[in-house]
Amino acid sequence: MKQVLSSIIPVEYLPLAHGRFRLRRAITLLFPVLFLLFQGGTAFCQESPDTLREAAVLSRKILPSLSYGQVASPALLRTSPSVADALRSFTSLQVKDYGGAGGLKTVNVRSLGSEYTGVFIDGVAVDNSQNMQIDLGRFSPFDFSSLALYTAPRPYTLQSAREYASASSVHLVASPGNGVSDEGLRARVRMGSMFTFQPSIRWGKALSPLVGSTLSATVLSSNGKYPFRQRKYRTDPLGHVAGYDTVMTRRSADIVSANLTARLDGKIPRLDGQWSVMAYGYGSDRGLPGPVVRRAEGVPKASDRQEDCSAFLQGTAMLSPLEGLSLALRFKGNFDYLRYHTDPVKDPQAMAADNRYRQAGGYASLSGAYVLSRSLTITGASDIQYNVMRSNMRGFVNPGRLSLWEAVGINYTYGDVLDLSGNMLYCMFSDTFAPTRDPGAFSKNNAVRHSVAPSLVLSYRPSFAGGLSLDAFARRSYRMPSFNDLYYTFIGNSSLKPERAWMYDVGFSYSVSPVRGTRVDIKSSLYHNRVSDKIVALPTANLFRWTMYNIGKVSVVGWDIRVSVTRDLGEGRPTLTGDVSYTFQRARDFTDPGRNTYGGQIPYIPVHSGNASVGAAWRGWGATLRAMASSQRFSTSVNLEEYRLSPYILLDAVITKGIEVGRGRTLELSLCLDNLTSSTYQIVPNYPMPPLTAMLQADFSF
Amino acid sequence: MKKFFALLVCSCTLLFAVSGCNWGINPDDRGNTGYTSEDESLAGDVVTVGESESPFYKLFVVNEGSFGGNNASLDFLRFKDGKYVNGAFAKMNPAVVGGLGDTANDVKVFLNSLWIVLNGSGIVQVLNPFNEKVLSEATSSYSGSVAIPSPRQIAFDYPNNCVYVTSYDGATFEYTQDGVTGTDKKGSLYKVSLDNLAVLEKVEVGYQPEGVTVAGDNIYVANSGGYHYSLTGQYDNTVTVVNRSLFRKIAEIEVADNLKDVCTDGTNYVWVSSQGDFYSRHSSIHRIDVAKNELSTSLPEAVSQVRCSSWTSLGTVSNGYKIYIIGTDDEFNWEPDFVKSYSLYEVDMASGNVKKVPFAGTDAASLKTPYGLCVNPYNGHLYICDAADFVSPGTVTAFDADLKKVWTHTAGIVCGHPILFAPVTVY
Repeated sequence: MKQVLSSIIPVEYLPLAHGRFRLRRAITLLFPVLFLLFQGGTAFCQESPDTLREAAVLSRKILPSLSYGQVASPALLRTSPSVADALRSFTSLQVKDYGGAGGLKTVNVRSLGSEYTGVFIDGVAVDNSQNMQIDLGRFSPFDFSSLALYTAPRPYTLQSAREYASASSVHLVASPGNGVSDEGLRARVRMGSMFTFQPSIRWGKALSPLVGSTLSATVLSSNGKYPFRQRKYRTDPLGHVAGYDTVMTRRSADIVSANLTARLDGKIPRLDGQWSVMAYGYGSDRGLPGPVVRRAEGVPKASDRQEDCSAFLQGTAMLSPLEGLSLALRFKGNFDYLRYHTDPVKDPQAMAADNRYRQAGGYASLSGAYVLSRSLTITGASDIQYNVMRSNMRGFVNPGRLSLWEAVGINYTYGDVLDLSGNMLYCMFSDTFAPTRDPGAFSKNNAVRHSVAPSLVLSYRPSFAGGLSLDAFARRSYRMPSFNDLYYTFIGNSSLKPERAWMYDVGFSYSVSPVRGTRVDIKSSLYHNRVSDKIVALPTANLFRWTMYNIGKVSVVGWDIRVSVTRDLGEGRPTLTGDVSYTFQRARDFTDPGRNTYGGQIPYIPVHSGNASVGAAWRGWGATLRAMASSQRFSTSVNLEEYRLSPYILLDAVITKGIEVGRGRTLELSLCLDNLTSSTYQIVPNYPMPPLTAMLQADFSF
Repeated sequence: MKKFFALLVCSCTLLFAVSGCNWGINPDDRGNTGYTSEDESLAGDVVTVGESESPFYKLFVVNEGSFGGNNASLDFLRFKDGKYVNGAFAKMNPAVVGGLGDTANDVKVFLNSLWIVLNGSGIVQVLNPFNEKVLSEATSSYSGSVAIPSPRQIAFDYPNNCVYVTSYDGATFEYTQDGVTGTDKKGSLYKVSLDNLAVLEKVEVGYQPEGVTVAGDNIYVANSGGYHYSLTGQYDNTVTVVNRSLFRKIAEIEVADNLKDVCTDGTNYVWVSSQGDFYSRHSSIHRIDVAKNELSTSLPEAVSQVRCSSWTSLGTVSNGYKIYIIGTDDEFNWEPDFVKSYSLYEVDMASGNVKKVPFAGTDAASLKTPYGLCVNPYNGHLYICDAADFVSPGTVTAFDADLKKVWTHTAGIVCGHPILFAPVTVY
């Protein structure tokens, strides 16, 4: 086992070998260990059990709260069309999907709302101050080596201050390895249903022993057309069953997009450090078909369009300038442009619009950790950010926001058994905007908003039960009102306060190897979240004019459990994996006892949901079958038949074959079938999802 | 009251006594279409109506539905047995794909037909009011609907054998890169044949037209300018006058910002309502003299104090015409917990005399968001739709002339358009 590890990490850094624990070395271990963990985290992987167990031991030691993490296996990541699709297999979250290749996809973890989920690329947050929802459909797994989701702070990872503010965080890591990229050339082509064609290419080369580089490009084109079925039957007064059962075509959902990344990374041996700088650009042109409503025959239908482009330059550096002190520096500059427009000439039913939005921002962060003793470490982090937004909409107030986050924390370790970490986050946001003449904006200029978010995370690993970990946390989080909530013409309310959320969780994870070659992981959490001052939209004068108010109260009780089994009997024998998970979420609206919404399940959250998958790998062949099920959901908190979305079960299958071509080069062919049974389902009402889609993917590394 | 109503029925019968009219479904024919909505299985709930002597057959209630939600619906209450049926269109027309449609905005009764305007679907749907079935099954060979882009309201012109539909008609505009310059396209008034529901012609009116009515030789269209406001900061404040025989715009009368509904006595006066700007200018009502196509001067002072969020009108030549309006003085207060207090106004069309009855202290005080009303001329009952919070199903409540509650029933989402239907005999 040591041989495996030492091939990646120099021997003198192995904490087990030395029996002493030093944060400085732990941080140096960070990247390779994360690499191991992402390969061998919970349940999704197909690595050898020895590596897994070792990695699990290391994880408990160094990164205890990783038990609050879910990680996508490389196979899942490789065959998912986007990051959002890979996340569907995770527990206790909902992916809100408007359908098709270009539809908006956001992730809502533990029913708090997608604004509470931070998305981080290499530890630096992705921003969208306009509506605080990151469209995960635009991130291609080809650019990232790992995808993970965390619901608690991770104290030993020098995370940025604003990550303490996210109730949950999605982490995309752009490159594996310990800081000097040298991957060679990799290419992927993906094509299939809806005339999808997506070639990607990546080239990595070490420029020197200390500096590596990577360049990648992806282009996606899809016409987004798919058939969908609509049927509704009822019994008429004569006792006959009457209704309709028709197949329509989803049109105007095409997409063309391209993204480019360039990355430099390297090591700083004298300071035990590594650094990386990444430039990322993305652009797309897509159709937005809108909801399916009854229209007259033969009349052209909606053809709204969206063009967008975004670019960022970000960098991180981790170093250890003194004994016991570790620092992480981060910076980012970003620019986003979005244009949404309709075509009333083609479709006179369309509401005329041609809205353009521009956002720009700069961000810098410094995090540090200092080891006081064997059991005590103190951490601190400080972030600063400035965002502005411009739009051509009449009376737009051109808001700007200065944000500051300050976090301090203490982490206490008792041997291998107990980890306790407490953090306090203070954040301050100062908005400026040009006061508008438009009545109804509840103008409150130069508003400063504060929030305090403490958290306490506990992890206990009783020595009498190897492989068992008991974890708990109590945290507070918040959600700042977005620019749309505050300043959007006619709808914004600039008096809004931040939302507040309290989160409590208790759970366990247990890892055991009952027989040689087989490993069983069980993970379970029971949680309770409470949100108050939730920002909701209420109609004012009529259906067209809504305004945002801080009136919502939501209470969430949830339980999830995941059991995964891996069986690997070594060379020449098939590797089998299987997992089953179940999530219970009772998320109820307690805003106003006088309204019909009181006590109702909040929109889009199913009470019961679950996933299951089985997979096998043998002699270069691999096959996985995945099932996802969800109980009924409602599109408003008034849980009536009018707003009900039917339950559904989805089946996906992936078959892969690796072919050796030449010396050490592999060609991996995958056939991905989504929605095998062409189940008719909707996540958002009146946005039908595609039926069976088939994709053929070829991955080649030179 | 009975005498008044007898007069009404006679005048209706005389007026519509023409043979060969496709809209004159004979009440005796209703049994021939297979089944009616009188069937027990559609029963719904029974309401203690307390007005079995009414000559009206049904009260229809149209629920707008959520915007983009494709869930507009049609309810009715049948007076003779008190049965209330929710979602009657879907129940009686199960084969229509997508149900009634999206965002119903207007409902009118014409002879023995029921017309529903679906703004979000771009469809004006015609139904048989005896069984709520799409009209084509009862009478003619053509489809019982006509496609008009973003239709808002309709008005009938029987002598010219057509119906007029106001339409936003694909308002377009241009933005420069950073600023806003407006050249937005005005809306249209469509003319649709009553013979075969074909679109005959259209004429340009103002920005985002809403209400339409026929008086004298002309058609009067109220323009709101809602999109125009979002572009330029200005609402439209004109009533467009279109000549009926030439079907050409002949005048534009400046009234007030953000005009919505129009009603008329048919010959002398056209009253028009303005919604104000919701935050600083109050809603108001105004009168146009048809003979001169000008705003009336010298109306009583009380008229300028009338607030209008929804209205209905009825009357006869002999008894005079009245408008019934629900409005609130708390128009500018949008705080979520604030309870607005509404009043009922009765305005005489000819004299402009106003009678104001506050809801406070009556059963009507419990209404949260009165969104539409109609009046039963036979017994003076008021039927008021309450849209509640625009998300939960609303309610429709009947009040007597003293605003005492007679009955109430749950309706659909954004309940807003009640209308009474009495069958007429066509010769």
